[in-house]
Amino acid sequence: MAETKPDDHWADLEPMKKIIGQLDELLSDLDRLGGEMPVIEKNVKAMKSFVRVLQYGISDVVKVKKQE
Amino acid sequence: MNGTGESRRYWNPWLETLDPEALEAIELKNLGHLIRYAKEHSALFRERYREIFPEDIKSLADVRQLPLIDKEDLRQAQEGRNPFPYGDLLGVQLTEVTDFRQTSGTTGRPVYVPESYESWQWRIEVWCHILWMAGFRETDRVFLPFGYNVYVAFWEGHYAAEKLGCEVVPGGALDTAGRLNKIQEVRPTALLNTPTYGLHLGESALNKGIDPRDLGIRRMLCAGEPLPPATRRRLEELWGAEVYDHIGGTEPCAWAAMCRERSGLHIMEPFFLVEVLDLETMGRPVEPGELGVAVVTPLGRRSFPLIRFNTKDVVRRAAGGCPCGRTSAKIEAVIGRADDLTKIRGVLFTPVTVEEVIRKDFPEVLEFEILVTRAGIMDEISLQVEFSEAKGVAGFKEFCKTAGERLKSKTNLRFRIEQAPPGALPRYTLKAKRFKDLRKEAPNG
Repeated sequence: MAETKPDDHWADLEPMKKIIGQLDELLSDLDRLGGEMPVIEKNVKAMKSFVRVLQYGISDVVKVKKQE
Repeated sequence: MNGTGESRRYWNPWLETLDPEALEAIELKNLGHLIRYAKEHSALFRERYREIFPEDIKSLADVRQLPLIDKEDLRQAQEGRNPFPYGDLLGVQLTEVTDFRQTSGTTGRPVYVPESYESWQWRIEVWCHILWMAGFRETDRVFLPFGYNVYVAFWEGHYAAEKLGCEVVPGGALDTAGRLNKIQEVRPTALLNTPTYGLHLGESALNKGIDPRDLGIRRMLCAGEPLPPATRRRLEELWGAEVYDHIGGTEPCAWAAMCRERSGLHIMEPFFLVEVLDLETMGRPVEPGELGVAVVTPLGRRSFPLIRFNTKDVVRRAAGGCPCGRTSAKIEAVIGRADDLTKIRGVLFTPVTVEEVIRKDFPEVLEFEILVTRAGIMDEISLQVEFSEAKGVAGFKEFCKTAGERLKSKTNLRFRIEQAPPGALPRYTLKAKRFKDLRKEAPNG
């Protein structure tokens, strides 16, 4: 059975990209506030790795769809 | 999107159903970023790409002008160079490295592969795609009957299964009997293992009077070795489970895997730029149906930048399109290692053809090994087999006749078939090496 392409969900991408960008900025703010405290620094670093995965999988798609 | 129903068939529906042209655009954009990054942060690429500039790479044809890199290049860029032990391959500060991995070293000195936490998460994300595509879900209890080690094998599968929400049961520090006991005890629904070990585990269960089909395994993802269709079918029959294949390596990560159609492998676009190039010149992309060597560029990994890595994996390219709806390019089959592709008496031979014949029609073969030798100027090929004792001498004689004919028909070579004593041939948990070309060791070889 053919799987359904989620054509009707492309519209969700732009707001998701925006939130991913905000997450990245918020994490940078948190990192600054935490100074060099390991509890902040290390957890922020881990979370930024996941943000990067989302940028790769979501934000990049928005950019290329905009160019179409 | 409510996250239920059809849309849940994809891990990332936007990425996985993107038009091929859009996938290519993302890959070329990310290749540009990677070249820029590698020139700044990797001593290897700073030197190699001195005269290469990312803005000059505008198409796949431009990509083919970039130099290939292979395992030997990586070894040379590492051996005796700082920072220890990664040398010129390191793409981040040494303090950023959180995971050490190394290649198996079967073809020479191992390559040490650094992963930062960020790069490791990128690898895990690729594996999330692979597992989801093979039907792994939160409801699965995944058992890994494998002793993870300094090699990358199954670490990614472990962490990706965890990220998916599966329940992961590590089965490393157990022998086969202990693993079977654990499977009976905790009732996993999925296995990650090599094909060879999947067969061995299933046959060990049968020898104990346990039918593997009764153990509740619904799916199995194989790694570490080629998985010809006959071996996959045999595993499926043995376990009563869906069996999936993928291909990858320590240096480039896992770069293609099966969807639930189980017909060919999807290239994990746009995480990788994968070229399949002709065997002779490595300069021309092959047509669908044609054999070629996979050249892989992982596009999102900064700790170990790698551009146009010659994997030496021989694959058959597939035509586009898949009923699953994913739009990524596919390969039809993994044939084996270019190192194992050899001419015997002038005939191009690949060991996977023998495995296909043996696994398809001869379940009474418990283990086998292919030996190529040279007597004078003549190549000889022999098949050593451990044969089911229950079949007796007459059974082996019949096997020699039938298997000899089928092998001749498939390979155009006449095999000398010999019976090995029970337990004489090695058993493998990773990277079975059933093909031994001893001609290189002969004085006139």
